[in-house]
Amino acid sequence: MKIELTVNGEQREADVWEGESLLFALREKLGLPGSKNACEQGECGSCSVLLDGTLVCACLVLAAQADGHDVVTVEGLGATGEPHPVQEAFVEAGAVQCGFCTPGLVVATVDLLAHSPQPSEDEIREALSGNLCRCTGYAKIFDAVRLAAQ
Amino acid sequence: MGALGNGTRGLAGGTDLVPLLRDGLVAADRLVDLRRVIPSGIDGTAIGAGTTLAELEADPQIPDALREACRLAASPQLRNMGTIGGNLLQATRCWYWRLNYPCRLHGGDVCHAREGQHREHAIFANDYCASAHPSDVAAALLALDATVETTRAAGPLAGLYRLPDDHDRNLVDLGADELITRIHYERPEQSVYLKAMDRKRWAFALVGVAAARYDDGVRLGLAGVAPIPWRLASLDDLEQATPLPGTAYKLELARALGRRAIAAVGG
Amino acid sequence: MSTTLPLGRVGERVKRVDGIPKTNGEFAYSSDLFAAGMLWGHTLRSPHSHARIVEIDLADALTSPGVHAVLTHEDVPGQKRYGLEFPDQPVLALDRVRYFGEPVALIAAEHPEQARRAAERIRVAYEPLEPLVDPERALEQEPLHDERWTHGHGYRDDPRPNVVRHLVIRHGDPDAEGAVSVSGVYELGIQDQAFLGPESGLAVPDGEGGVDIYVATQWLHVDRDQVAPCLGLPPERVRIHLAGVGGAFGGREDLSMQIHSALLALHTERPVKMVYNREESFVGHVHRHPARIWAEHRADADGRLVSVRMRILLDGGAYASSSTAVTSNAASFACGPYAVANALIESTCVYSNNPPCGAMRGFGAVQTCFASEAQMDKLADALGLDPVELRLRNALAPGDVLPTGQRIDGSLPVAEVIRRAAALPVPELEPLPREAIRLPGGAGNTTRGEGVRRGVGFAVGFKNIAYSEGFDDYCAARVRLREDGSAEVHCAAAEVGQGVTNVILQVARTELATDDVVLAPHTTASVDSSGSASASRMTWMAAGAVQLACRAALEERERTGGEVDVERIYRHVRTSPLDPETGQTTGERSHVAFACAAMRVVAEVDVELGLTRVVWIGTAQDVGAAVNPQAVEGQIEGGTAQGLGLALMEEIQTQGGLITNASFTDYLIPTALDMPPVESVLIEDPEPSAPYGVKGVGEPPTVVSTAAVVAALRDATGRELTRVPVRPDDIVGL
Repeated sequence: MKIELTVNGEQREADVWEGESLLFALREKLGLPGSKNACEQGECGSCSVLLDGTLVCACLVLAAQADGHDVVTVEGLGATGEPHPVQEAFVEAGAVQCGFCTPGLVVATVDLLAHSPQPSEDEIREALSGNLCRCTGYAKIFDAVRLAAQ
Repeated sequence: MGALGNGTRGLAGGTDLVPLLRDGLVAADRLVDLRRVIPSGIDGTAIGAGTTLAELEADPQIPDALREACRLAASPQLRNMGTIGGNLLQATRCWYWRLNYPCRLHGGDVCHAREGQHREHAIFANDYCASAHPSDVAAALLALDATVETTRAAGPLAGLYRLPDDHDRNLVDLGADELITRIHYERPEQSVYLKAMDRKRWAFALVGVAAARYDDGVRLGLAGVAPIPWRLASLDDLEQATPLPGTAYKLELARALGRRAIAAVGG
Repeated sequence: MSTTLPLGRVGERVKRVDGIPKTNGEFAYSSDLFAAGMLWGHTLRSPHSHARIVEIDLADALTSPGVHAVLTHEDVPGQKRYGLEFPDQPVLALDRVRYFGEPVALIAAEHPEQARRAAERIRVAYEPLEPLVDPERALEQEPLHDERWTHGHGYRDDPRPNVVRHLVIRHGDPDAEGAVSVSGVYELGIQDQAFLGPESGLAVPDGEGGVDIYVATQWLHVDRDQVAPCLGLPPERVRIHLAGVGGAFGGREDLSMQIHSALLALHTERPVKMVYNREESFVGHVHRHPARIWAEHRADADGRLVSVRMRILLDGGAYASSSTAVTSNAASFACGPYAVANALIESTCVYSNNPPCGAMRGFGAVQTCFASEAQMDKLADALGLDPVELRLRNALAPGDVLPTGQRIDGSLPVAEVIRRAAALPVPELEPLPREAIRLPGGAGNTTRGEGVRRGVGFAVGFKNIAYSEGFDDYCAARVRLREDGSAEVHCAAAEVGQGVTNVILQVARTELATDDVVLAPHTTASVDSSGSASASRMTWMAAGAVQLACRAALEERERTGGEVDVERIYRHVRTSPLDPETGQTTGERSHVAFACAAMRVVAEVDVELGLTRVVWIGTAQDVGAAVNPQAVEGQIEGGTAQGLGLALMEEIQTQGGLITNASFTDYLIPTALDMPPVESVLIEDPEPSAPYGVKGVGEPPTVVSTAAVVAALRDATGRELTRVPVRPDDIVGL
């Protein structure tokens, strides 16, 4: 079936199989592999995207459900050629090792800071509790969020 | 909604259904998006079944037990998608069921958990099936004296659930084309939800206890202790538990959490 | 790799060169690859942990929509088996399956869902066999393998069935008596590496019978050397290219889909992409060996160790992988970083029908550190000695002799890491009331202080850097200096997240005194092997190789004046095997070098619910020299998280050899809320034999953190806690 949706500000369309997830459609049909497939069960947050401005796991959204809606992925965050301040903060703080969790965390952080520009420690932990990281132990990820909030 | 049934299923947030479809535990030829069909939003003490957990958690009018249950139910991403109606209907985490063992819930004649690994399983009503119901939200709503309205009927929340038996293995008493529309609760003086998990965040309840204080006393609702969300009239009811060797520790947890929950609501 | 980002030399805090692409989705991981006309591959796996294959019927699968190929072992043109050390593992099951999830058949189709549905239509007739799941029974059971794979390789040729390796270290007089003796039996469950990037890659046939494989791996050349014989091809016709790696931690040392995707690609003459989902990933790679350890420690009245006796049983699962080395490592480091004159260490790894085990960060030393540190605390208790003081009294130092007879002639500042870790100020008890997440039970709001007890634990651990026992690994690097002064470096050292790419560039910039350096894509086609990104060796070996190659390139340019292209091989000092009967080194050394770490953990436990909050971790680690201090801290923090996971929540659950919790719902890894702040002190005591004095840093924090966390729990609860992961059920107990 054909779906039409806005992705990162652009009108896009894709031919999807009915049971396909939005994540698969983004990665394999729309040329946007930035959102990651670490678990595809909603457990790790690596597929986090903004669906109509709301933070969701793209792996649990059926591509068909996104028809007619607005999606922002990690690829859509910075301006062309210019990294988003959150992206810069992650690199500056040393919060990126293998980086597989990073896109999901960047999207979750952008969402957090949009709602709460000066989050407390506890707010940061809460907001990022849906994103798993296996490499960093999270310490420098928190540093990155604090840095980005400045 | 005559369209449901016969291979057609309703899809709301998808956070429980989509993985079940992928794992082959639920079959569907067609999915109908329910979000435009069922009510959502909060109106006094009435909650539309399509209201997301995130909306409930954010609303200061919602009693603490329910807000906390929503917050603890899932990650921020999943709370933005998952609906309260869907949360009530979520399937058990029992790995025998999820791995498609021919257990009683799958129509077989044995409960593999009873003889096998069952540290996450039930301490009540576990003779026929020892699975545990994971819904934090249901535990909170039981304590909040909730009633459920469907497209067919209305009644206490407890009536939504049933224990499986040889005639009917369903844990939910809902027709194939029947949808939950609204949930109503009674506003308490004070309420709380306490959840013991294997890690500090975002795991299913080992034991979850909701307590709500009303004029005539404290009501308790539990998650993770029975195949269906479990109501306790008082902590004395814990003595009726029938723990399995590997779930005996849950009784300790339920006692301690129960005491603390009652103390927390000034009961 | 770009040269336009902020740069740096050795010793500076440098931004990751791959950082920005990883934050904006541009960095290409192995599952992000795409090729025109590609098909999707899928693996049919055994639902049994032990069974005979009677018949495989492919008919319905072959006619399934979108299917281009369905392959079994009959379609493997070359060697039918492969393996890191012994070729005991079938590419596709032959007549028997030996573990849950063992690959049986392959499908290539236009869409992954079509491949999955076709797999369901393959009819395999199995005759289930009784699975061997109790490692203590393995030596009495029928052999799971027809061949004695590990015989004739210089190990003890153990005649008993199902022995992968049995090693005995006999040192001094193990019967020597002391003033006190403490014993215990310790157990560790199966831990999973749980790297986030799933097994995945793309195989592209070159149209001339060869194939290019783009894959996330830890060692390109050893992959090639296993893939080529199975495809019946000479090594040059199989080119392995490193695709972006989403973490490894040992789980990518063995092959996953490399041969499978190549078989499908060559058969269909189309590119083939394979991506495992999380459930498949859990069965698709080796895990950390579960262990049972019996230990007895004797000491004199002053707390000096007199003798250590330990028996270690490792369950290696169905295939050998790198188990022989894990067995030896567990034994080599069993006594901990302490001088002891007498020891008897028996380390046995057995085959079983449980999930196959192999390399995971810490590699055998994690298991024995958990046991030996618990024993040290028992000794301290029996003697009325402070646990830190006891460890200081026994601390190993350069010049000491290990139980394997090797004299420590490099750096090993055990006493200093102990002192520096112990000197870190411990946070004060936080007053009540507190936010829920600052209490045990965390977000679950389970206590307002009731039942909460505080505990402090301390542990020390060490292990080897680089491979051991005569393996003699090396690393190659190639440097091209262009006319315009720019440089191109080739090194196959796998970037798995640890930051070796930055190390290579930092070293090259330092040696060449220029910032105009580019790192070429990693491929077997352009440079010799760098060895594995394992054993905390890659920084050392890559730094050594790049340094060598840079210096050679500069010399060559001096001589010739034009473009230069040189490749050099860097080797560490030679090592020798351990004697099969005595476990003593047969040369001067069996290990190249060592690194140690000490850690203090503050934890709070709600003893009525058995819920834990780790409050703070302070550690001092022996790092030799920090090439990039920010990256070193990141390794310490991440390695500590994995050890904390093993201590509190991580275990692969099995039933009859079947994995029952193959998902992140049921296999829990620490979240942002589970990790405390980690304060780390880097002890830079240069390793004399290493470039810039570096040591590997990835493993020591994982070796020591499980032991340290559980020590804190014991202090808080008064419970013995001899098994990890520790669960609420173990603390609440009845």
